[in-house]
Amino acid sequence: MGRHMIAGDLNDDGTVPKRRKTSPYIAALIPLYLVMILLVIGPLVYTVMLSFATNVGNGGFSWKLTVENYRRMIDPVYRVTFLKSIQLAFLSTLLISLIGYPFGYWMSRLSKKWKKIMILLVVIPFGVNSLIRYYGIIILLQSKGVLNWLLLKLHLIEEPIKFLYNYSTVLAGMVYGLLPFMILSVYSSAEKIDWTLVEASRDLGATKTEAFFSIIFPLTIPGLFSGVILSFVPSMGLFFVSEILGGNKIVLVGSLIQDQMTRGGNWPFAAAIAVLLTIVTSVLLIASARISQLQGETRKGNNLI
Amino acid sequence: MNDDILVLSDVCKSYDGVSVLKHLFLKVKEGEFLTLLGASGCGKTTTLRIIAGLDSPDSGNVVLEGNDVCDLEPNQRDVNTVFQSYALFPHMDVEKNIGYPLKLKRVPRLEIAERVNEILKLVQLEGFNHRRVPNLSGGQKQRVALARALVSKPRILLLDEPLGALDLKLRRMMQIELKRLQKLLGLTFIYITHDQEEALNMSDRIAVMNNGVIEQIDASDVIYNKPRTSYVASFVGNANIIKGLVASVENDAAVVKFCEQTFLFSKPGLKAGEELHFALRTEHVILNAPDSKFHATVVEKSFRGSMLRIVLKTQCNQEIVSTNFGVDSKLKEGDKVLFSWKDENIVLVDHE
Ligand SMILES: Nc1ncnc2c1ncn2[C@@H]1O[C@H](COP(=O)(O)OP(=O)(O)OP(=O)(O)O)[C@@H](O)[C@H]1O
Ligand SMILES: [Mg+2]
Repeated sequence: MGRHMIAGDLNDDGTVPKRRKTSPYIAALIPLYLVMILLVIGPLVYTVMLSFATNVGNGGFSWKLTVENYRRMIDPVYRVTFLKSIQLAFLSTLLISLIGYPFGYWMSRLSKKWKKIMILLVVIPFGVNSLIRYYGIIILLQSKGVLNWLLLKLHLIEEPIKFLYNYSTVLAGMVYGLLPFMILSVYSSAEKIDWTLVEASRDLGATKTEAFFSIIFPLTIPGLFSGVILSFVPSMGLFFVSEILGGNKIVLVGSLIQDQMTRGGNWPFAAAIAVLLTIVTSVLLIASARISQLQGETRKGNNLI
Repeated sequence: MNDDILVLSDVCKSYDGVSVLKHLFLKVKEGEFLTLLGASGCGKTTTLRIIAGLDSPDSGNVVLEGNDVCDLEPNQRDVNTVFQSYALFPHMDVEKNIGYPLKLKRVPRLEIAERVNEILKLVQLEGFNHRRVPNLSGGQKQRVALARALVSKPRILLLDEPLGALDLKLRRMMQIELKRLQKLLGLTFIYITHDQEEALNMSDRIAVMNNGVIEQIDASDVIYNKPRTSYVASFVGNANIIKGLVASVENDAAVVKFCEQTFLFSKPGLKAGEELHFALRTEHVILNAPDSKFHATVVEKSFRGSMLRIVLKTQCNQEIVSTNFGVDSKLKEGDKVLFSWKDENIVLVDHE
């Protein structure tokens, strides 16, 4: 109760006194900013510069500026790759939302003890390098893999099923790898919901379903959105998933960049694709951040109640 | 009999094996302002939640307008709650919050707008339609919560310490306003508070709760002047409890022994040897009057606003509190005093 009253007081007079003394904290943050500039902004700027350099083959390039690298992307081959990647990212994000939202919400309604257990179970896979996990999946799913062996033994199938190296496997791989982010972000926003709001809606005449759609769902939209961002952005770039599970048959932007840098030896072109990828994802990101921000503003009210 | 809008009978409820409501009986009359008054943790909120359907009783019945509602969901009961935390929906503006119950009832949009404006006028928040909830002050939130609970015209309004989070001045104002609204709408209010003054100010009747049961339910003045138990007496109006022993009985009056002295108490049917409890309000303690005969020592003297408060310790080590308005006294800590009371100011409690 005390917390609500304090929040209310701050809200009442509309000012936030004694909160402006931030300068000592800024000083303490300088090393962090330096690291950020060095490791985040630096490489980004370098990549942008590189994307305008001229390729001289075999990984070499000269600083003669050109837009050739960007012009080349108009080629349908690359355009199709881009569209395919976006499509796959959309699909996997959709699947991740459909599975992750109910799961995360369900977790938030568990008892304290079970919440802890479930969070642990969701997080454990992060302890293992994702490459290793994907190779693990191959062991499970390949023609002579564990799953086929089991199905054959049980006489459920007569011939091994080809699980691997197609579009759905790549999709499933994306969903598998990125689902925890969605679960956790939906969980954390659902967890914060003040349950008296739901009781109030029931008291005022809402059925359980009506209470869910009018109260719980709107208040978890920010969590859903951050989950969407956390799944969409990586699924545009996770080249090794399509590489490992798609067996190079599904070429995504991520693999395209990697391919150009290694086998193709064309660093400026790889940089240009990377820049475009960054722009596309940033635009999508900002768009969803906008919507999420609108929702987030209302969510602040949650703390006041 | 038939004007009982709500009847709780023999309601029991326990949480994790700890019993919170113990065979609670409560009858609420149509149109009255009933207050549940009691110390923290005595089960007031639990009672309200059971009425609203947010909790279900382990045993007993909840009868609303003649129908047993125990198996009805909260949304099926014609009872609305004003929560202490207001529980306003943060993602809706004032208008949407208030219109919420109407929207659920599929009331046409135009009518919703009309009724929302009507009720906004009633709670004196005209023009607040599109204010965002987090930007409202405590008192305004309170009014919105009230409007939202009233707009669908429930049969009973439940209010769980609705003014608890407001400052004193605002609380006084809202008390008057709530009372005004209740009279205006002729609605049944069940109001929770642990502030005795608030209860006495507003209620038609007060139900004093203690430890999961209702100790006394009566009109405010009766609760104040004729408490039936020592708990009620000390909770409402902070009375002193005087414990005496009946020494002898003569002509419908008992000679009661208290602190090495005796006093007479008239009541037929008392028996010698019986222990009696009396409530004596602090303002009725008389100090150093000619006929004062109970010995005590001043142990504390303090001013509470316009009120002088003196704590005495009797010979038999009992504390007696005396309060007086606007009277200064030469008494100081350690002084020996004599005290007494007028016969009509002492009330027998805890007695069948
Ligand atoms: N959901 C619950 N689980 C466990 N114990 C509970 C629960 N709800 C209430 N209690 C316990 O039941 C008792 C009565 O609670 P209740 O909220 O009814 O008290 P109250 O009279 O409203 O008190 P207050 O004035 O502090 O609000 C308390 O001891 C409380 O700890
Ligand atoms: Mg309570």
